Amino acid sequence: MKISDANHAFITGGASGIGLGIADALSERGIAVTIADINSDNLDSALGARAGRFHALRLDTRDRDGWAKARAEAEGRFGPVDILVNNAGIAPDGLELADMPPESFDRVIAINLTGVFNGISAFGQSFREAGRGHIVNTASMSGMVMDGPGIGSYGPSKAGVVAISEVLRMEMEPYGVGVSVLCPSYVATNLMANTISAGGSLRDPSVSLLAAEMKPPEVGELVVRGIEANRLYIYTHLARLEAVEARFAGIMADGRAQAED
Amino acid sequence: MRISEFRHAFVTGGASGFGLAIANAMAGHGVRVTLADVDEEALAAVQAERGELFRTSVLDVRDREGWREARARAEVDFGPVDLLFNNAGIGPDGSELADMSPESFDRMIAINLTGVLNGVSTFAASLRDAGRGHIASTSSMSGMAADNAGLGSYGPAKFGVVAMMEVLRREMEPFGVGVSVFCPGTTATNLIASTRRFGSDRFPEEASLLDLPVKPEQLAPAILRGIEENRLYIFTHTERRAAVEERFAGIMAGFDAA
Repeated sequence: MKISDANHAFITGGASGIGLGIADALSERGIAVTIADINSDNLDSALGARAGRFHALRLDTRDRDGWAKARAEAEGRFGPVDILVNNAGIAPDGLELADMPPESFDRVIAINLTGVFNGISAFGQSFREAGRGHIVNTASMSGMVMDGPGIGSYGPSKAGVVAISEVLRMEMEPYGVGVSVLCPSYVATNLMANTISAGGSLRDPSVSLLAAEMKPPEVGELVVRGIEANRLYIYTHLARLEAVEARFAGIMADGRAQAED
Repeated sequence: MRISEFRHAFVTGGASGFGLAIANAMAGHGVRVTLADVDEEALAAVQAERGELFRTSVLDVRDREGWREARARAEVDFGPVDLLFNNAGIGPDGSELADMSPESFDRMIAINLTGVLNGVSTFAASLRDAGRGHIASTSSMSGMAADNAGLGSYGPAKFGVVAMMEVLRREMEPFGVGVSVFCPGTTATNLIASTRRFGSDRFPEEASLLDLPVKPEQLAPAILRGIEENRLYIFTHTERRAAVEERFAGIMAGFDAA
C-alpha cells in the first residue's frame, strides 16, 4: 500500500522502542497514529510533544475485550484504522526448557503469539471488507533461527508469529490487504525493563539492549519501506543471513538423507 | 541410542494413529510402552489386545497435574521413562484468521504447542539428570511451510513445536539426551475424529483421513531410525520438499531485497 494513502495506524507496544520508531516514521508521513501500550508511564512520556498527531491508550494485548474498546476509542478519534502493527512483546526468560516454569512459557506465548492473533481478530475482518490496508507483525530473527540461549518459549512464540503472518498473507492477498512480518535482531530498546513491567521474568535483569547499534528510527524507516513494497519479510540485520541459511541447509540435508534411506 | 537400549517409552496420542504405530514398533524391539491418550475407550481396546509390554494412561496433555500423575503411575509399572514422544495433537479448524474464534485458536495452541511443553516440563529434567534418553515431538510439514489458507492456528502451533525442539536439542545435547522433531505430511490417522472430540465443528461426521494411502505403520520404521540416528528433523513425506524449498527461497529473497 502506498503510505500516502494510509490514514490511521494502530501500533501495539507503541510507547517505546521499535513500536515508537514505527509510529514516528509513519507520523512523519502524515498518518495519524494510535499508540497502544501496557505501560502507562511510557505512554505519557511518548505522547508529550506528539499529542496532536498521536492518540495514546492503554492496552494489554492479551485482553480481548480491551482490544474491542481500544479499537472503538482509536477510531472515534482518527477514523478507521488501515495500518495495524502488532508489535508488543516480551523478552525470553533465559531459562532452559527443562527448568522453565510453565507459567513463564504461557506468558510469553500469550503476549508474543496470541496477542498478535488478538490484533488480527480485532481488525482482520474490517480490513478485508474495506479491501485495503496493511498488517505488520513483529516477530524476531529468533522466529527464523533458534540459536540464542534460553529461547525455549520465545523462539516458538516468534516462529509462530512468522507462521501466522505467512498464512494471513495468503488469506488477505485476494482482498488487497498487505501483510508483513518484521524480523529484527537486537535493537536499542528497553525490551528488558518493559518485560519486567509487563509481568515477565529475566534470568539476568542487568542485561540491556540500549547500546545496540540498530536504533528504532532506522527500523521505523525499514518498516515503512516494507509496507510500501508489501514485503512479506522485513529484515533489519543482514548479518544474520548466514545463520538462517545454515538452519535451512540443515533442514534440507536431513530431508535428503532420509529420502535416500 | 539404539531402540533396543530404551527401556520405557511414554507416547502421547498413543491410542491410535502415529502414536500407536510408534508404540507397536518400539514394542517390537522389546521396549515397554506407556500409551497416554484422552480417548479412554480406544486405550481400553488397545490394552485388551496388547501384551505385557503396554500400559495405558488417560491424559489430556493440557492438564499439568495429570502429567505428573501419569508419569508417576507409568514409572511405578515400568521404571524410569527414557523416551518421551509428544505426539498428541488436533487438526486445523480451517477458518481464515479473520474469522477464527479466539477459543479455537487458544485450543490449538494449548494442545498442539503447550501440550508439548508440558511433556518437556514433566520429563526433561530427569532425562538430563540421567544423562541418557530421547525426546521426540510430532510437528507437521505445516511446521515447515504453512502454505494453505486455514492454517492460521495449526501452522503457528507446529512452527512452535519445531522451534521448541531445536532449542531443546541444543540444551540437552551436552547431557547426552537426543531430540527430534517429526514432520509428517497427511497420513491415514483419525486426526479428524480427535479434532472433533475437542469441539471443532469444521468437519462433517463422515469426514476421515483413514482411507489415505499412507498408513502410520509404514512410517514407523523411518521414525524409529530417526530416533536411533538422533536426527533433528524426521521427514517422511518427501513430496513436500519443493514447498519447503520454495518457502526458504522466499525468506532468503527477503534478505536480498533488504
